[in-house]
Amino acid sequence: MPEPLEAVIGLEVHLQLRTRTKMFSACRADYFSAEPNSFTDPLTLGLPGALPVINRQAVELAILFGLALGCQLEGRAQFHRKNYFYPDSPKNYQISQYDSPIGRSGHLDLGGRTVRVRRIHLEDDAGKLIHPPGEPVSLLDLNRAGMPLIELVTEPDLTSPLEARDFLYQLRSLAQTLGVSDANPEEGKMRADVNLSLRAPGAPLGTKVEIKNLNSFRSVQRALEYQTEVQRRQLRSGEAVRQATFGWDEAAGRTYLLRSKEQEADYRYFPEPDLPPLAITKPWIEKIRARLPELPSAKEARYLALGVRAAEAALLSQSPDLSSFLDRAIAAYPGPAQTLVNWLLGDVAGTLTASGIEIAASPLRPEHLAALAALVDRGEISGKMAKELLPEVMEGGDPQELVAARGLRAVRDETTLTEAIEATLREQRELAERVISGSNPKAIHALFGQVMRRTGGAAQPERLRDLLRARLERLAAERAERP
Amino acid sequence: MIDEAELDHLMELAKLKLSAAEQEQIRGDLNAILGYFSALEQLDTEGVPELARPVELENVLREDQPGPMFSQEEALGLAAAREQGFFKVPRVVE
Repeated sequence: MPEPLEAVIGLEVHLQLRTRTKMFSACRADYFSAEPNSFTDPLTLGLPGALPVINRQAVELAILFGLALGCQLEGRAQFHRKNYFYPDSPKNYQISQYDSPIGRSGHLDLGGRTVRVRRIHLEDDAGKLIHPPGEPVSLLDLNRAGMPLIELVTEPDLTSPLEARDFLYQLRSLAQTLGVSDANPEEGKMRADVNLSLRAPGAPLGTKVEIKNLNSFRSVQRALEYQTEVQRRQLRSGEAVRQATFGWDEAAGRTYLLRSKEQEADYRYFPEPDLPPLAITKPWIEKIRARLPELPSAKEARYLALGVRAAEAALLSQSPDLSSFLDRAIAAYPGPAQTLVNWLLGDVAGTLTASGIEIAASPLRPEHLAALAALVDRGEISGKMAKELLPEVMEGGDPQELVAARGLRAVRDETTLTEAIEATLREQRELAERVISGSNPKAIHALFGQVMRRTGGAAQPERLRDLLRARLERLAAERAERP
Repeated sequence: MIDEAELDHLMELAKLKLSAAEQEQIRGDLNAILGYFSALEQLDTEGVPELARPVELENVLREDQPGPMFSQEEALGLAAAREQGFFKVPRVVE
């Protein structure tokens, strides 16, 4: 048996910040799906003489993110120039942070494991290049150039491709909960580079390779799985792993070698002369701390305490939209939270998925869902009626009004229910006999279902159950009295 | 000292192509500059804090308020080549 090899994985994640304007200029940031090169200004184009000014909101979002990650933030932060010539960067350098980032030494908890965050820093994004196949040209769109990014670098604490993917999910939900970033990989608002090495347990770190520009969580996992296999084979056959940088071809499902990377010294980092440093003071940090919303881990604990099932508590706490909807519904509902969760993740989610609408965009109001569930709890309508009302409630209808307007009421009337019971007992003699004779008392559930069906699901369940039980007990008693 | 290999690397980074004569000349110039700095390096700077800029400023920030932008036509007006709203540049990948 060859010795097992363990993966050592680190991530570099870029998140586009949710600001109205770019990192260093007042150029608007809402360029998504706009015409190419229609969101630019002198700084974005790198025109001579254009000077950067730091966006306060970008800095404060970075501090907020750093607080949620438990980073050290207090002190000076400095921007540096990272020099390189490439068409996607018209000013011929990126403004980034080198040896004094906004935040250091944070961590993110991953279901019982802690992943250390080495640093988070601010920088500006590059433009976007398109390479039309078969033509000797590249096409450049500078709308994205100058957008504010947070770069987050982890320590190599991740031990499997799946864990790397989990980390990204957690990070995304954190960024969304905080309103720091839309963190949407499909729109390029969250991108990851990964590094990977293998080693025998306890051995020193092996040679690492880097895989760059992964733009979906699935790609991260697949690319890591692929490179893990490559390295495993190399090490098993006694080959050395060569330090290299790869790209990922999602369609082909394999990595490909990128041109050799520039060495760090080649970037000629130096303090950005156009930007004075940031002094991140305790009062400033505390002011921003007051804006921290409830974090996903705290939210999950709160749902568990309310009696929500574990898997659903985890799922809901990861989605800011679902959980904020649920929280508003809970506030308007006296019953158990799990009842609302059943609605939300069951029929409501099903209907939303079918219509392709997100919960946040749906006309369904949390108070209405709470009212619908409460109507059932109070026995005013049956569960079946509630399900039938749901489509209209999801269009914005108020369940109380709908019930009143239709004269919908769960049937509590004794005469009506007794008629249904008698008719059912005549029809289901065999079932009734089992209950009356005591040979199978549980058959009462089947009888209950039959009567309910006969009422078209309109019977108020507790009332029906009581009447049915009373009727069957009377029949059993009558039989016992007979000689 | 900047040797020929070092100069090749710098030309690569700066995306410059220089003739043999230009290379010889610029190597001389660069080495003169480096020589000047090596003279500076002999000064005792023990205890002198690093000075990245001569003006004491910090936290110069701007509010996140949108300002004017170029139209697409203005942005592309200075382009050497353009296509369908994009800047057209020599291909940078294979």
